[in-house]
Amino acid sequence: MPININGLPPEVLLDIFVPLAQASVNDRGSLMSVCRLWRDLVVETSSMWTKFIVHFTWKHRGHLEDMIASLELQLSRASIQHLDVTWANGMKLPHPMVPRFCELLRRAPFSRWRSLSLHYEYGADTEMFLNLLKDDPGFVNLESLRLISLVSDGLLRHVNETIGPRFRSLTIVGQKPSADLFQKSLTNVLKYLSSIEIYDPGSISSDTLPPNISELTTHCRPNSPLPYIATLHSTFIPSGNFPSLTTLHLKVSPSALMRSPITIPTLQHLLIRGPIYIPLEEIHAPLLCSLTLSYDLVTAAQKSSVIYVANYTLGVVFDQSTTKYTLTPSKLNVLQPFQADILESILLHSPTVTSLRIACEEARTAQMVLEFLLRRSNIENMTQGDIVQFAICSQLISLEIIAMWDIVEAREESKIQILMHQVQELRHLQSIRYSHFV
Amino acid sequence: MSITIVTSDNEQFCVEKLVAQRIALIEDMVENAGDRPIPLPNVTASVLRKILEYCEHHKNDPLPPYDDGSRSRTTHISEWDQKFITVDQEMLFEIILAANYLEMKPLLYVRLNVPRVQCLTACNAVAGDIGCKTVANMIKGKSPEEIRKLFNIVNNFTPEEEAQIRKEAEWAEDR
Repeated sequence: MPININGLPPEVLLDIFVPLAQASVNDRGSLMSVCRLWRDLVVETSSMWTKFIVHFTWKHRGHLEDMIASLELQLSRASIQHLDVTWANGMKLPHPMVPRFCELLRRAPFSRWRSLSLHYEYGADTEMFLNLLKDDPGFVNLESLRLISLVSDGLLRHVNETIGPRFRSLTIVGQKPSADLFQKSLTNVLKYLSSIEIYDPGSISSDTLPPNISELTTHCRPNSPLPYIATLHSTFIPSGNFPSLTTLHLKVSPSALMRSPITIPTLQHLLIRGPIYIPLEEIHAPLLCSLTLSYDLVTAAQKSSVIYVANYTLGVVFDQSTTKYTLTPSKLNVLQPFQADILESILLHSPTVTSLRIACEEARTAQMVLEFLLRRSNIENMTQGDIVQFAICSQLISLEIIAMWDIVEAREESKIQILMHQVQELRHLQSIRYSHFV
Repeated sequence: MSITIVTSDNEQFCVEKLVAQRIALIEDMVENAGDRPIPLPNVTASVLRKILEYCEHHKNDPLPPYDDGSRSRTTHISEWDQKFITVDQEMLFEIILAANYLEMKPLLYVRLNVPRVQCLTACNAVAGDIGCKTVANMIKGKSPEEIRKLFNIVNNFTPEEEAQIRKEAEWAEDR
């Protein structure tokens, strides 16, 4: 009898449902409206009720009691789970409702809040929060705080005074915080933080960020030295001093182009999302081992005559004219190498490759690639230079050729198959595959 | 060295031991079975063929990073896995069901080359649970009616129950 989704065991259905419900309240609502089985699963699973959104606007004005009833129901279903709270008010709470909300939140004390996103459009509910702070143990389990627009000083002070070592992430968007905010209200927050998103890190400190902050997301060019930052997400190419930087994610706009070549001696991973192409030869990174370009940028890189090898998730770029980079990936994905000698150059600079995937646009290129590997496999006929080449790709254990051409000719296919067989025999590969790109 | 697996429809598969051992349930059975074939009474040949295809493809995958469950799950599925799991709904659910029975926690938790104990605790969020992620992606953003239509589910609520659910959901929404 054919199986349908309701034939799956409940624990498997929950593997499907829980991530959906934790990400979206709307999806949780849809799941529980499908049928009785699904509704029962959703209602009885407390981990599906961790996302808790308080969002009232003018349209809710006449329905606040209904809204409170709905929030109370959600809280009772969440049982004792930690909560990911979004508090986003488009209007200030009417005064008579404050005690009702206080009562509601006493059932979900701050000690259960795992993350908090605060978004006030018309001022903070300072009065209500200050009421709650009196007898609350505080945000001892808070891991992340996201502040959008105006911030309640009283609440921030309480967060700062009560957070514990679980706290790791702070995001401030939509506002430029004053230096006072960090120096007076968020001193403890800065102590625990490992990741921060802020428009200008200079507003935290004119000197340096504390050593516990290793990840920074910023939207302006950092001017002060940031000696402890290991991961940087930026819309500008950093011109400052980043002696610990190993991972750089760039989303660069045309106005943020670099002024001159830069050197980042510790950089290992570079990801560029655009919208524009950065001349890669301008970035000196001797330890770079992976570079990922978004698809359009790969095309741009090709046009500017940089030889590229890349895929969507992991890639490396090799600049043939300058041979600046030593590339050390173990998995290498090569798109359209055009000529076998390009592959040769790539492998020369990729001594640790064990797994190689090559997508070829023409059958002839695939044959040339295989013939190259074959030539480098027969050690008896090698010259001294060839032996060096053999040693370089000697760690190869897995090879995949992906055919990207449309017209399949039996004769060409058969030749490729024979060459693949010979390569496997001579190089003792554990895995060799040939497939057509769909 | 290879072992023989017998499916519910009595088809025999001769599988390289190293590949078969990637399936936690079989790894357990191999030790006690000796040279005898290993029966899988809950898995048909067509489903086992797919599962072995997955095992074969991923057999050289590196050890996934340790995951203590605190990382949020993503719905990303790799290109190969996406192609692998592009099957009709019946086969999709058969694969999920078999992976659950075989303790592969959605082509589940078990990743190849990973010791079982480590697997079961370690890698639930890695590219493995593609079956569940695929179904989740099918559901994401859809209305209840669209979900029912997609999976051929009968709406068995009474009108009163439906009204109650609508009321509950009315004030719970993403912003």
